[in-house]
Amino acid sequence: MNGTTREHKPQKTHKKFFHRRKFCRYCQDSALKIDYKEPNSLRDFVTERGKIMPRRISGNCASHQRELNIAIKRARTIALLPFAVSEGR
Amino acid sequence: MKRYETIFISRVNQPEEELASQIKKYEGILAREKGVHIGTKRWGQRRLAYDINKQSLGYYVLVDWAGPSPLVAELERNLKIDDRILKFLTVKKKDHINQTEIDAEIAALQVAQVQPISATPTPTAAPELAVKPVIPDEADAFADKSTSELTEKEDQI
Repeated sequence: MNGTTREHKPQKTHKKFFHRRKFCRYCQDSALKIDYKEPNSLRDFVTERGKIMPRRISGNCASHQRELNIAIKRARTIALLPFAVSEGR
Repeated sequence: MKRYETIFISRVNQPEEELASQIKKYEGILAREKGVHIGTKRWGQRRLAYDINKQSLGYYVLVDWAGPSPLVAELERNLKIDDRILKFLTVKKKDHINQTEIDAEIAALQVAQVQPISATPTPTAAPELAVKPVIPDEADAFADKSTSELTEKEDQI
């Protein structure tokens, strides 16, 4: 019994698909600033549909993700970023 | 005193004088209500991310200022009345600011305004000139046009 579980464990880790180390882009480079007035830099953290990307995908740290959230929402209110992108467009 | 910035989107099909007087008007409100106007930046014409009042283009103007908090309400009340304004947004940037800091910011902005005129148009505006020659009616109008074209170009990229 023990033997089988031991064999299973490494197999499971092998089965997991390729996993790249994620990092917070804003922690890495302190020169980068989160600004709602720069929609082009915010666009990297928004899906094609205009949704905000979750932290588990973008890899941002909690504090920067929070800042980014506010920035994206501000950019949306002033029409720099879309609230939603419809399929036809 | 608090530090604020206000962005407003104006309609695009307005003559230049009207736009200038519009901007003047809001700067005047700031001065009247004991605020300090720090700087105004015209982003120029931009495509809106979504239609506002059936408009897909807007003229963006960013006004940097400092002042007491009731001034925000007064400014936004005036912006609401104006039907040439499609949308506006005021953001508080700092809770406290004193006169020396304001002066320093004004000075820094003036330096920044002088530099781009000498530095940026030469590398970026040159290829545009090659494509379609812009007739410089007035120095101001020309500068506005080039900046608006720049912003639009950035959007496309």
